[in-house]
Amino acid sequence: MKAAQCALLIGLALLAAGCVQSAEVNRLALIDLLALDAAEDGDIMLTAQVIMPTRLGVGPSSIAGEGAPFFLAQARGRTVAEALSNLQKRVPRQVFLEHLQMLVIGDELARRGLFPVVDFLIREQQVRTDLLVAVTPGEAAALLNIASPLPAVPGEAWNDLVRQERVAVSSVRNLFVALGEEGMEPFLTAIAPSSVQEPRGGANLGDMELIGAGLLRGDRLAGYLDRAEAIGLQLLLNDRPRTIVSVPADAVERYLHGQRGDSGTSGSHSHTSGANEDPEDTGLHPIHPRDLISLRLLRATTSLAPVAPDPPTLRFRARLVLDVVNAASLLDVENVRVTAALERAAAELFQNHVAAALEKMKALNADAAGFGASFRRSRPQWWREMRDHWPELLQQVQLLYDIDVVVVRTGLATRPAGPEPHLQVPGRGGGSTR
Amino acid sequence: MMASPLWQDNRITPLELAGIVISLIFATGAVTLPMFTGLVAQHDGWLAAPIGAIFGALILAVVVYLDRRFPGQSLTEYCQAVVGPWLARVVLLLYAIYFQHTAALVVRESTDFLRAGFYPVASPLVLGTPLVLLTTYMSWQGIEIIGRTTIIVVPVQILFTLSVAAAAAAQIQPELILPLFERGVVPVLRASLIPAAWFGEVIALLFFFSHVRGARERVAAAFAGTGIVLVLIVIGGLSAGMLFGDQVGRLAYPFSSVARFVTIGGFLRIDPLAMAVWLFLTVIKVATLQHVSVMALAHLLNLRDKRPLALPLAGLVLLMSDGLFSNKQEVDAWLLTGWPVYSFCMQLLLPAGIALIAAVRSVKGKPRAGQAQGSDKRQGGDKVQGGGKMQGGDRLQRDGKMQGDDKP
Repeated sequence: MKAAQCALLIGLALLAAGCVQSAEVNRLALIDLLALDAAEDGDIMLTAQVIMPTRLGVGPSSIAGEGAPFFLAQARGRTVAEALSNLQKRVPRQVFLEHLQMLVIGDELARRGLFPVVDFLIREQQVRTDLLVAVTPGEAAALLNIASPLPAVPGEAWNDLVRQERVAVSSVRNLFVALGEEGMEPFLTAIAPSSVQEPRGGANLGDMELIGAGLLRGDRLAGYLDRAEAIGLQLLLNDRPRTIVSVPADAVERYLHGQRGDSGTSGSHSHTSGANEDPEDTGLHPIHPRDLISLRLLRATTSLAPVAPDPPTLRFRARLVLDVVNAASLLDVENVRVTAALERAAAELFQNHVAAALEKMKALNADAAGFGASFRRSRPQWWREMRDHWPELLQQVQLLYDIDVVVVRTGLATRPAGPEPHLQVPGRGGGSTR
Repeated sequence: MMASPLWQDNRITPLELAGIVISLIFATGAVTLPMFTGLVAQHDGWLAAPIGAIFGALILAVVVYLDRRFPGQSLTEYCQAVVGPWLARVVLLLYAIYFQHTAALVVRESTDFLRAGFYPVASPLVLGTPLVLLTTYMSWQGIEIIGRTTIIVVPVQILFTLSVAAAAAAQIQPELILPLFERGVVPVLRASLIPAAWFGEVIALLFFFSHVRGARERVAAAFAGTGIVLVLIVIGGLSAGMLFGDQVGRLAYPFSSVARFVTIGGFLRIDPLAMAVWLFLTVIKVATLQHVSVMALAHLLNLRDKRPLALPLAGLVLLMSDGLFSNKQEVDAWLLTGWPVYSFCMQLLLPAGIALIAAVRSVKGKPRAGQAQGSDKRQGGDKVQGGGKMQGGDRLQRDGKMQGDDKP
């Protein structure tokens, strides 16, 4: 009896080990990046970046360093699944999507409509719902042909870039959820080829660049947000953008002197402080004219709450934590009064980003921030009556801003690195204008 | 370990009973339940589970009532005294078919899950055979082996469920399940019929509740097991709802999708574990259902040794799992529409009817010799004390133990 039991257990163990659906690694075509473009007659053109492990220094016959570590394979079909099946007929290995890092969708296909693509992504067992999905203003296949000079599998590098820089990150899950969520439209990470020239007129060493976000209306691409607008969208969504913003020193000074700041946008110039005054007038040596303070967004906690339905008005609350990463100004960022003024100027700058995103969403009639969904959640009765009119109501949406910015640190330095006589320290004075 | 031919000396502890209760409800409910409730009530689907649990508690109350009324006996032993010999045979036949059918359904759901997520072209028989071989071995050995297995696998399942939910916590969007009752209470009530059928699986306890040590403890364990499952199902439903919102009903296996979405430490994928751990509980559930199905049929046929039935019935489970439904859509349609009604009849109407007849006819079981009133003061060994063992093929009606057993 014991022998029979042992035989049964061993048999079960052998069965449990199983080789059903085995996938030997040397028989796989590992797909790193996938691009989908519109083809003629409503077809889909699928381009796959297939990794060549031998060019990555893997295996005994490795030829690392000789050319790009991938090749491109293309196939066409009426659906994504059909195109993939046609691709399989051209690639003499098992097409394997488990290592897929990103899906890039071309502009034309995105404008045609994306729900069939999303359905494939949700239904296919090899695709995970955390797969990144991006849109590009041109042809997606062109992006896949970029061979980065940096020694990494492109898909992994792109994945890292998108996840670390966090400019409007969109995954299959985000897309799928937003497609089914009433009062909210999907958005996609927008990417484009970047041009980097090799020194002394060499080859183009371009790579991929994050350019903002693509907004969808229904399942169709409606337009794009630039990077600053994308930050505004992320704040509206309580996402956590990773960004550096530069506050003009003049805006800080206005708050410092009790005036409402007239904030500029990131990268704008200011000409009010003493740094760029005529040296003849001040008796000081001229110094670098740029007058900006760069801040890094460390944490962001935001919320949207409807306050009135006619016109649709929402209160946008945000608590943003930043630190100083570059004081390209003579204002003493170590001083608490300057810090307070800096916080108010930064709040206004973020408000401008959010307002810009709102205006673009209105222009595209795409509610990517989910203003409608906010009303649906807090005023379901009102929403049931107004849901059909939401596209018109979106044009009337107003935001009440309540942005609290805290600058918590100044990095590894205290006062700006400029010459001491030029420094503007409240109470002490300084610089040519004091 | 050799099993007794009669399984009468199979005793389990209240903890093991709680494990069996968790397995019976959670095995298939863990992965598929949010899909069914999401199909009916969208993001409010998770609210259906607590209402369904009330149904489960009601069935447990009937089980406890019958256990108190017939101390130390299972349904197979007191059924004839309550409803008469012919109706008792019908009742046992219905339960044998019901548990057989349910076991086949669970095996089918398991193989569908494996094929959908991991082995798309594998034959269902190839996937189902090892599962049924294992469950048959366990059901052959009796409820004690099944109970002891739960001690190993149920904590793993609980830990895994909580780990997946914790890993998803960083990315959930609580607003996706708001507003509550967006489409009213009716969709939630309709959706609750589905978890109710899952919670109602505790009806299998009618066949072995008396085999659990401690009269009070087993009641507490059964309700505690149901409570734990409720918490786990709500956690699973909330995780899926907060990640996928209204779309949760469009995912075939929402909690599995949660496990596929999350990583631990940013790199460790845990979805293959989801498959393995979910199958652990499926094994317990199928083994338990096979066991009670064999018990019901053996009593019906007055077999002294029940075990010879185990293998043919297991074969039948395997064949039914493949043959009853031609595709997964049919399984889903059955679970969504037919299953709640069918379950309601078998899980509540029938046992409640038996309890009502027993009360009206004042049929009561006598505590067996050596059995303390109100509680089983069994110590140490697994033996049933006193004259609890049925002899001569476990005939339904024996030795005048029942009052009123001479009535039709």
